[in-house]
Amino acid sequence: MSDDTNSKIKGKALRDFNDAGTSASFVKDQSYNFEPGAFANYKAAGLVEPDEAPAQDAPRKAGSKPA
Amino acid sequence: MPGTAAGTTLALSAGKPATFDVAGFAALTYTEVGGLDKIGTFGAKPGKVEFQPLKGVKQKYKGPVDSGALAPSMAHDEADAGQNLLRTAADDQQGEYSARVTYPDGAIRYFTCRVFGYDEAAEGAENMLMGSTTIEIISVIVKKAAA
Repeated sequence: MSDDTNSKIKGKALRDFNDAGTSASFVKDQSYNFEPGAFANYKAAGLVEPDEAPAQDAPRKAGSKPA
Repeated sequence: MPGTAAGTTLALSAGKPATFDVAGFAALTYTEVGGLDKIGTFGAKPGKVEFQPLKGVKQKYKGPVDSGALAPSMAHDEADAGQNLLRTAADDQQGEYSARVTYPDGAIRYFTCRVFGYDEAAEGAENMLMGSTTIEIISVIVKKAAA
């Protein structure tokens, strides 16, 4: 199974919610990588917003200063 | 093969199909509406145009086709993504949404729609808090047969 996060959209859950079709659950203020179509539906429903924060698992160079 | 409606699902998409055929609708991503207890009856039906000649029986013709509406009801759930999309669509004055009804045998019905309101019903202590709405179909109903 591939983990192609490039085609996904990083978004933040605005509140706890569940998807009955996929059985997925989402927790308020947590970030997730969404399929674009699912993100569009959740965003339209007011459940998510784009998460502009840098990924926490992004590699950092030792000694580099934050931008 | 005849069977019960158990397992039938209703799902919505905020997107619209590029083409009004199975391929166009199937390319969209849908979010299932949870907690449904029924979807209701729906289907395209032509209006009736009547003409009563001075002599003879009344003539009846087929008029414009109305694709009908669904009247689903559900156990109200604030945390269900599909229900939230349904309620957003109800508040959206002009927005068009795509819908997918999937039957237990795999047959699918696709259409675009507008959602007219969302009623909440607190009928009594021995009843679930329910929600209901009317989904008016505004396109042809695209049918995909069971595999």
